[in-house]
Amino acid sequence: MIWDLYLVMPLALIFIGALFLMLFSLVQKVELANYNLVTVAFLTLSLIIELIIFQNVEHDYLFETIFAKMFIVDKLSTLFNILFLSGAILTLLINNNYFKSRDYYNGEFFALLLFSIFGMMMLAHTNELITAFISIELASITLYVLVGYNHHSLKSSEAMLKYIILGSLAGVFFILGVALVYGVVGSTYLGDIYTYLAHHQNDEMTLLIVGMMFMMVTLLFKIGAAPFHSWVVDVYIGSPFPVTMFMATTLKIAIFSILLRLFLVDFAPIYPIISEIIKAVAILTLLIGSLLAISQTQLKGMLAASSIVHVGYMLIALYAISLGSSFAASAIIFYLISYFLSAVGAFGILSFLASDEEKRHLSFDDFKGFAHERPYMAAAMTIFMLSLAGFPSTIGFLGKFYIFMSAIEAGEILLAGFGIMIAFISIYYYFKLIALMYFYPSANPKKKFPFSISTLLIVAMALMIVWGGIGTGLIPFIAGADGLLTIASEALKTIGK
Amino acid sequence: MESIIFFVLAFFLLSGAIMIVFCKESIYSAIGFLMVMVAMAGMFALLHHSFLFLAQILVGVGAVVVLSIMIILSINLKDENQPQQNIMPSKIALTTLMVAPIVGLLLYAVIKADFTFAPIAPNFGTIEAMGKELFTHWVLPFEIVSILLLGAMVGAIVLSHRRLDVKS
Repeated sequence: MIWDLYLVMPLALIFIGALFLMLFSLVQKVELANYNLVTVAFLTLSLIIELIIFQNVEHDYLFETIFAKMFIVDKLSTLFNILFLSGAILTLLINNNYFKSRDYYNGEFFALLLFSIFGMMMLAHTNELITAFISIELASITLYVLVGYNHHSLKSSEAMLKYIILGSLAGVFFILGVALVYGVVGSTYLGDIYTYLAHHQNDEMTLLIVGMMFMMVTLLFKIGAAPFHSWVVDVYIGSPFPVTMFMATTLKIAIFSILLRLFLVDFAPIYPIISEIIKAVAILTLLIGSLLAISQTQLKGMLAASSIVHVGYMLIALYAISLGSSFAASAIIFYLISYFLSAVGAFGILSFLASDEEKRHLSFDDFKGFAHERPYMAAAMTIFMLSLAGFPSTIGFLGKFYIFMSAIEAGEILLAGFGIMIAFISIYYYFKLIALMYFYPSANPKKKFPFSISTLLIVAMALMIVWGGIGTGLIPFIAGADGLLTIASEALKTIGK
Repeated sequence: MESIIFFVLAFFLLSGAIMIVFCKESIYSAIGFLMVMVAMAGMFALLHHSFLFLAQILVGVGAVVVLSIMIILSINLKDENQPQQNIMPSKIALTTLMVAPIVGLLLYAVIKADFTFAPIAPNFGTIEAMGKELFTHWVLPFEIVSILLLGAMVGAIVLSHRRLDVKS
């Protein structure tokens, strides 16, 4: 019982933090930076407890007498919680300057963010589909509000409305799918669904498979895979920078937490049916995402569209899981981490520039000669772009390497080749920015490097990306990024059937 | 007798749903919404689920529909203020063509599936049974729903408190 209370501490802390900030935001005199600090403090405390739990937990149902087997705590859920929490901490700290420079942020922003993280953590812990649905809704309803937080911009409101309408429509498919699954199996527990699937023939359970496909529709929508991608670019451009970062990285990790759990446990008996669908979705996502990314003129739009492409790579690994690749699931987790570092860094530079200067850096052309104006920032941006493109010696290369390795392990050499071709196409839009930054003269004089939490974090993340890329192969005695892969596969082993 | 009531309710449900989508005046769409909600409550009553029936009437009809009708009336929609949208038959045909296989699959699956349900308890659908079920088997989702409502409430207050002052 005491141990269970300890396991639930991180979640409870986040919820208490949300309540605290909600009530605290009524006080008018508090500065915005303090809200940010309080939020980060709650998140850090929760993160520390999760790190200790990760060492000691194997596979546990929390409060089994009360919650039955709904609340699962294993290494996988703890690992995902660590990712959400560190993601949120980095997002908040990197945007420290940005929060101060805009007048529309207040205490409720941070309360809503914590509510959203609570939903994501619950999603990683859930062993039951209705709880999963409610958690997805909790994570997204608060995000809908955050997207429209900038009340000076009509674009932000438009993005919010688009996201609310499309997001709730997509969410309905999940509950419809759950209803169909319940109709056939008579239970919404993941384990029961697996048992049912394993003991019945394919033609007996058409309805169950249709229900599961409906659930996939929602999950694919939330990660922005084609053909459910049409909202991504508009919403990402319209929302404020911190929210874009949060959506592009942390929300995606959250959806993958339930997607992996469903895919590894429940869908295992019907892999032959589902794998073709995943393959088609992966190819479509890669193609459409690349086309969208090439045609963007705004930098934020390019990063948004390229996030669709990155989802496509991860779907390749998801397809490889269904073909029996043992190593694809940990490759996905590694890719999520590597994409997270690179994307948050790139968005972080944009948000820092938006807070530091009057001139808005929005389109590619605004970055002409940027390297002569701010050499360190340009260097960091170059590292992020190289990592996103999957250039060797960055962590992004390793991520892509593991993904394509898993595809080749599953015997899908053509699909891996297709992915590599898409990676070459992505060099065009990522390197365009690097070329613009370095090969044009600057109109403004050189500026000093401004020391602040945001800039220092950006530099630290750039260094982490390089460490992740070269620390592995060349320096034998320092723990490298492939340690993350070992941790991920260790976590995946504790997932119960 | 039961199946006659079912088909009458289903007719109202479907025609209400079609009204929501196709009516040009939003107030008629709201009336269609009302029809859907009432017919849905009738469906629950047909299943002997008195709690859901009451909840549907109280919340679905009493709160949601009345609120949406009030909003439509209070913002005073005029024809010239509404966005120009023409319902294009070609688009409807294309969408129907795309959705038809899914509907076909769903129909096929529902007809083929053999639903065997456990016999229902004698107090099925009463408030007492519903409360027991919620607080024993489903206590975790129930608690998270309350957090969801809290979060949604904070969000709604934040959205309604702000003023849209667009800087040029």
